[in-house]
Amino acid sequence: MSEIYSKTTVESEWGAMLSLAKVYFESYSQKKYEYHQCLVLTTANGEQAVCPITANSVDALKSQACSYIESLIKKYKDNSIKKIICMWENNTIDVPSLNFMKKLCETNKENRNAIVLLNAGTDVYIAKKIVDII
Amino acid sequence: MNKKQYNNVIENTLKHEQSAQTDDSLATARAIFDNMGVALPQGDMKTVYETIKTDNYMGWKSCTMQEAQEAADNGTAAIGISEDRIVVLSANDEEQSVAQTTSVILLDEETLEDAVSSLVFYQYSNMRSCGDQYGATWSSLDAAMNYYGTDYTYTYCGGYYNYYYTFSDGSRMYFRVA
Repeated sequence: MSEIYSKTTVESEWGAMLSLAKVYFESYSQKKYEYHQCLVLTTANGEQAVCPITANSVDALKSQACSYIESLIKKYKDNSIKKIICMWENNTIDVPSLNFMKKLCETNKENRNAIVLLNAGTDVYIAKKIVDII
Repeated sequence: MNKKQYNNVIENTLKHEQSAQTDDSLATARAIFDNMGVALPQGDMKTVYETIKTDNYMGWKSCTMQEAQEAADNGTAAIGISEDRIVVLSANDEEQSVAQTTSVILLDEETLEDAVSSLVFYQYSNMRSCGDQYGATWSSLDAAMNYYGTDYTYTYCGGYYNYYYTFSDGSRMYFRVA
């Protein structure tokens, strides 16, 4: 079941992850890329990973995103993802690429239940499981 | 948004939003529609009524009482409104029902005619249903489809193309192409 959040209620559940993505973009002052995205992932153990992606093609973006999954498993010994935020440089929230979501689910079937925060209108957010998206 | 999700938003708003826990029907409707991403005119009850009545505010269109209930049953926002009150129609769903209040009602055979006789009905017929998602702006459709990895479709309205694809749960993800 999708959960809908207002500007106020999204803060308590997703505020920390949103802040991590925004802080990343605020602190970034290097080369401009055509595709600049930040994935913030929360694992089952509560670890939060900030995964910046800079690319000049969608293929390169997808490749970078998928490579983070392997890095995460090595670093945290955890391949179970609970929550995902995918933010573009202009702070637009979007779904992660289809490839990324599919690879997450191939890595661990439980990741079908990972929740992705999405934009559902002005100051309205909706959280959906990957299985409800792909 | 399906009817379960529609009722879920109403139910959660009634439970958790303070402004929805008063006898003020307009405050309740505002809280519910804020959480759905549905626009309701600013102003007091009379102003909201007069604005909606123009049949030209955002996606609100007049309809019969039956059509309003059908809209709610399909997960589309629907209201009954008069100069002094507004009621949100909940969807008829046995698994995810909503407790009836003076501000949230379900129209069925048991609805008293007196309770709704002063109301006129509207549904939010905006092409974007409440609960749909909004994604990024893309430089080309090819790039967007490479990323989202699925077929798109579009609507054309007001001189603009609105591109979207459909999630597995039936909701739409809208995106823009520059």
